[in-house]
Amino acid sequence: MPRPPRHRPRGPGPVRLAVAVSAVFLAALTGCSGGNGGTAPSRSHTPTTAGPGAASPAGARITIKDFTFKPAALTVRPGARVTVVNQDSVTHDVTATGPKAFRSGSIGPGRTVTFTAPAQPGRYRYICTIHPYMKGSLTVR
Amino acid sequence: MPPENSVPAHGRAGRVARGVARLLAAAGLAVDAYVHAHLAGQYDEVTATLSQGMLFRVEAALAALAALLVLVWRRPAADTFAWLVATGGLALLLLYTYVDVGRLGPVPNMYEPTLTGDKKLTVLAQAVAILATVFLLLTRRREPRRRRR
Repeated sequence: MPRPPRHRPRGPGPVRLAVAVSAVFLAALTGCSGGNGGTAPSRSHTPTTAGPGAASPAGARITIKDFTFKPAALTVRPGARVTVVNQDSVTHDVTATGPKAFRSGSIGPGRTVTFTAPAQPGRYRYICTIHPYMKGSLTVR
Repeated sequence: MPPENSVPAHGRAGRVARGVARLLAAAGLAVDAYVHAHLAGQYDEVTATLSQGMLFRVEAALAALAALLVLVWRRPAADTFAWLVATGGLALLLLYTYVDVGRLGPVPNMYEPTLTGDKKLTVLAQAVAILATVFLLLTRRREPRRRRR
């Protein structure tokens, strides 16, 4: 009876390398997945309502830092100029959700842009369209 | 004596296991491809010379090609390519989640410290693809040499 061909287990370098690298990545993955890595911002952004009379006359300003809009809720007068300062190292934007009342366009790292608040009073929610979990609101009154 | 063309029990089990691993690898890579293609438009504004959206499309294309090769070509080279795509993708995802790398020449800063649902899904899919391709590479068989004559 002819002997069946022997299948010698192969352990060449590339395969061992693949196993080793995979093990390192999966170990890193299990080690990292427990939290947000320390620098990650909170994902829940509950806008706080500005108090009465808090409408900024002209110098309304939103600062973006650590993937968060600060303040999360801002009150301005109709048609006010709103300045957005991006202090993060990545690009963001400020875009109204629902009716497209305003859009800042791309704001590169360290850049500042301004946009005009809607003339119609109301509360406008906005997000960063690149990172949609970044949320804020602009109240016009 | 078993017939000449019978497959030993452990051989059948091995084939089934390799078939399942092949399907898992392809599925993981397909999910990887889908998520990157789906999110590419959202990241078009993150640009240096290249845009993050374009890099996502490249990853999506590579992952789709790897899934196809793993399923259809079924060669160690295909499994190795699939492993490289999944491992490279996972490495970059983890790097840009935990390290603010900054702009690297034509590559924009893709740092994003939040583990979104899409990211978690991609990590899971890539991890499955990595494990499955490593299994395929470890259990591959050398083709018996053909006798000359």
